[in-house]
Amino acid sequence: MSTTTTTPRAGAAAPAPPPPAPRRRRRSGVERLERRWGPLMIAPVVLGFLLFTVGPMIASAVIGLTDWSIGGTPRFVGVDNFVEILTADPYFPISLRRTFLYAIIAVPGSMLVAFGIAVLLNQDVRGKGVLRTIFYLPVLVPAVASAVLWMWIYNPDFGLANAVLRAVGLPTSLWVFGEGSAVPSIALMAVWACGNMALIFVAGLQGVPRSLYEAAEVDGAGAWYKLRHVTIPYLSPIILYNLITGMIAAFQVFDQAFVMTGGGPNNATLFYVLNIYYAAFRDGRLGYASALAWILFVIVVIITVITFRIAQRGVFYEGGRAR
Amino acid sequence: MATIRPRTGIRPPAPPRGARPSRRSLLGIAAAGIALPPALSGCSYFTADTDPDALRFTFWGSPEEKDAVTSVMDMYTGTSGVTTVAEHIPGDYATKLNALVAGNIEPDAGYLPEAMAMRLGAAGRIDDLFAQGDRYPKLTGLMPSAVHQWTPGSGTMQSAVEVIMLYIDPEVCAAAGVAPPTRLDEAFDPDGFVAAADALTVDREGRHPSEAGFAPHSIERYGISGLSGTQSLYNLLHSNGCPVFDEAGTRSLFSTPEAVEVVTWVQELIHEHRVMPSPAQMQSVGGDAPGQLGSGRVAMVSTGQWELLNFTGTEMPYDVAVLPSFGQPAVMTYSGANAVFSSSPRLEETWELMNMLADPEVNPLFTNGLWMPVQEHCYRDEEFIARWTSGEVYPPGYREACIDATREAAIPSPHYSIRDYDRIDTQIGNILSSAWSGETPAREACAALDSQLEGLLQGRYEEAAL
Repeated sequence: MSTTTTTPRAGAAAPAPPPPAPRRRRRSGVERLERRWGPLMIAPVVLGFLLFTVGPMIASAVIGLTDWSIGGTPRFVGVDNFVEILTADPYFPISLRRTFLYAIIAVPGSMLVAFGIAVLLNQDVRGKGVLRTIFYLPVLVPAVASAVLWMWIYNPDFGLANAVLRAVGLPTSLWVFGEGSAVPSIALMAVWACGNMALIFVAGLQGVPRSLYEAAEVDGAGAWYKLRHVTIPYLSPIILYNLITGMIAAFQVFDQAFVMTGGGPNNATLFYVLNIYYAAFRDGRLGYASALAWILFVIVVIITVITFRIAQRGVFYEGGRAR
Repeated sequence: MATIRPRTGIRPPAPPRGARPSRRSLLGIAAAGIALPPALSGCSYFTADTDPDALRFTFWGSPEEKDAVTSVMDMYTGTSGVTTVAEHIPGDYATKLNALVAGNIEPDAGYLPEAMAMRLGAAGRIDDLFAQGDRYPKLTGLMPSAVHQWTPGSGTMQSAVEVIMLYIDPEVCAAAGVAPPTRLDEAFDPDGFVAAADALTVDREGRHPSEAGFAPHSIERYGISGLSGTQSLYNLLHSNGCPVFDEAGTRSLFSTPEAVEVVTWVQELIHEHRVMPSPAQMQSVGGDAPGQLGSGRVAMVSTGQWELLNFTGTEMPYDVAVLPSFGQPAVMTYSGANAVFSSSPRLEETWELMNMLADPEVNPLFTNGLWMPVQEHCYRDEEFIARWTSGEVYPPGYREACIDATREAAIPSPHYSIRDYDRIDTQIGNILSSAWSGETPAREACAALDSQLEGLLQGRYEEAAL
């Protein structure tokens, strides 16, 4: 960009300088390209989100206000479905309790194990690329295949889990076949498949500056102090991210119960989404199922907001809180 | 005045690169354009890809069942000139059909799970069988237990009659000195059955459960499997005088002494007598009846007569027998419905296809072991029975244990008559599973069933006497 300046002539009264023209930054080629093509490139995602997420959500909100049995005609009933769910449905509190229990076990369990794995995978060891792939593999196993695999592991008579317990002299368990042990067993499967979280932690760990560790070492910090005062504060935004996404995923647990237990034994694994599925596709009550889904949405939003509020205080952002 | 000019040699800014799409961008758009139609073609499966005039029939089942239904539909096309489409949905059938009905793109006809058939029938979405009168000969004279009404005088029919019986390994039974009866009036009583199952159960050392030193964690062969399934259990409950639900269909009868006796007995088969695997132990025992008998892991299997089809082509010895009984003869008949959707634009042709599918002389499913006919005369007509059972798949005991027993003691299953039965069935299986795992005493499980089903039982569909 060229600029023009005038030099006042000697003896002449200096005229007031004109207001400077607004400086317009010339965009780079990449920036212009992005401006022109960016909207087109993100259009599939935006359209997909509008058509397949926002659209169905709006439709489900409307359906939730109707008494619609599949095959019948929807009838507007206002908030009757919500009132029935909250006051008369015996499976609503059961499914909510079981889902909360699952989330309480699975989310912290997965995060702890994923963090431990990530710390190990971040060490400078040979073959760490292969190790990272191995730890990520469970994420790639289809849900049904993993359910079948774990059914064998959990078999009370000849399964691997009880064989290990017997070998070390511990009492055996009924695992998914037992009322008390079914939810922890399914949560353990989630811990097994924590490779995604671990990968995110690894990425975060690689962003921790070496200089901070070196400075800590100069100050005489050991491994524990480095972990506590350098690694964890630096990773806190990633911990928060994993916590939020993990919790949202935990509230949507479905596959394992659907394939392995059908909600049993004695409704021990009647998770919330399984309850929604049963209401919609077993009982054919679309209006009621939509209302159930909206209640879950509200619960997840509330929990997410509370978690954000509480966790934000302990989260360290490198550029300050404004970020 | 000094003017700063652009330095010589510096070219004026090039036209923005994004002004015109580059070749690469155009290639990308073209690729997306090419990829999009096939990706979206699935969306039009039920509109563009399917002949709009074709008669669509949806069904579930094994590859053999698919071939048989398709062959009948081809036969119908050959005789009527009506184009038919056999839409085989092997898994998650109810979910998919519910989605089709909710989207108002249901087929002309199809198999329907029992409770769904009644729900859709009551909503006016299923064409009334009774309104067809005598127009279709194979849809008249039906077994009373195979016809179900959603309102008095309106209803549908089962696609077949199916019953639960015992599949046995005759060589193992003979070696153990056990002769499972094929006649209802000679059925094992509970104690006799436990003794027989004990004689058939052995651990790796060849000891029976009643013998000292029997190793319950090393069972080589179980005497019986499958009696804890609700279909088998309902037969046992009825044989003990417990009809599972009260007359009005608003109360479960699981807490009655008769029901508690039966549930306790089945639980003891697993945990006290050690002659039957628990649901968890079933994993090591094998899947279908031929698998269980063929592997030598079980000597008697309680399951549906439809499993006969799975024995086709096997060289293994097998026979069938009646279930044990607590005194009253009872053979509960099962099977999904064959229903015509009232939205079909070709109702007459669809009912003609139904007529052909129900014809045991035409549909190979009635002679290959999968289905039993729905027409009452088929259970009395000796000539027909001879033709019916002439296939190699039918073992010697079939006539008495299956055909005669069904004729003498058939009772309808509650899957049709109790409203919203699917959710009831899920809960029954769900709660009883803790009894079968040994966690909950049978009496407690029965009490839990009564209390938990209380809010779910909404009565029966009203029926008129036929």
